[in-house]
Amino acid sequence: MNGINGIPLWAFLIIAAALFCIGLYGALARKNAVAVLMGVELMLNGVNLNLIAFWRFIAPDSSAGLVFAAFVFIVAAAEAAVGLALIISVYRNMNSVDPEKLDQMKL
Amino acid sequence: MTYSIAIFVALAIITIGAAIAVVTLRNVFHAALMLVVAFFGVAGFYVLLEAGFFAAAQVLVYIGAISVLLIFSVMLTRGVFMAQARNQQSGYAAVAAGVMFVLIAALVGPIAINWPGLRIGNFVLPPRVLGNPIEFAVPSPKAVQPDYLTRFGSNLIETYGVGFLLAGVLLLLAMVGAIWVARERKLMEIVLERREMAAEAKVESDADTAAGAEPATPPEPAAGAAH
Repeated sequence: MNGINGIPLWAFLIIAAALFCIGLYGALARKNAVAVLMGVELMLNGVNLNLIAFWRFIAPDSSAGLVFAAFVFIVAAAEAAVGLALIISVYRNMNSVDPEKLDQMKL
Repeated sequence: MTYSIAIFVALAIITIGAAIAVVTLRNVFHAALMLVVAFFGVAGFYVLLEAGFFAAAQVLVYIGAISVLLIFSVMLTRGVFMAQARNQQSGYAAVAAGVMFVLIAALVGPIAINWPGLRIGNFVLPPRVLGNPIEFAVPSPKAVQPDYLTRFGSNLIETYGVGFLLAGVLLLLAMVGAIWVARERKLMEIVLERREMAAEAKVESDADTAAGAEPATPPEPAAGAAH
């Protein structure tokens, strides 16, 4: 199967899917809120890899895929900053970063 | 050509291995370092995809800024290193991740495998689930033009200018918000904040007992409450 230098598209997509699913597991199954955010960052990287791979294979002369990926970069950085600030604030109030301890809004 | 395939396989092993280490390691600091390795791996994939600018941006933004921020946060929330790595829902999470991967692979499958009408009894899967002709992904893609970066830059500012400006505003808001939420509070400020939280909790628990419900549990954390 032809691809760029012999690497087909689906190889990149499977790697991106694996990154996304590993990040999903990390976001759901970790006891430390910072580790949950690390899982979210892995998911965003998987998405970006998907976008760039599709850009390269389908429409390398357009810029839409690249612009989309750039916006994902930006939003990921902003969300990481705000999320970590919240975690630090929670740690100062409750001296714990276990996301399961944050249940005051439960019914 | 085989060099690229070897590099791809090596990068894949490194990236996926580092990602698994991120979600498995008990020491959160080690997990953060493995996350840096995973980010480098993804940057390598961008180089393979001939998007060199994004490889550089990945290193600068993700490794240079976000990973540093994560390591800072790990340091600032110390004392929780030796807790367990997984919570109670880790089994369900693994199942969810596995099912998600199978679903995505089922979407990717028609691009990879060329089945001309798979037949299961009376049910025939169409030759191309996506309905596109064979040029979808199989042949070699077009070459990237040498000025793709220039056109990306001008498109970002001209065609997608509104989103670009909104992204700038978003970054500004995120920075200001993060600084405000995580600011160092003076002792008097903390005392007043706790007093306020206790007063709010007391008002709530009085209202709850008046309405006949159970008394409220510990005071709600006022993370980022405006003063």
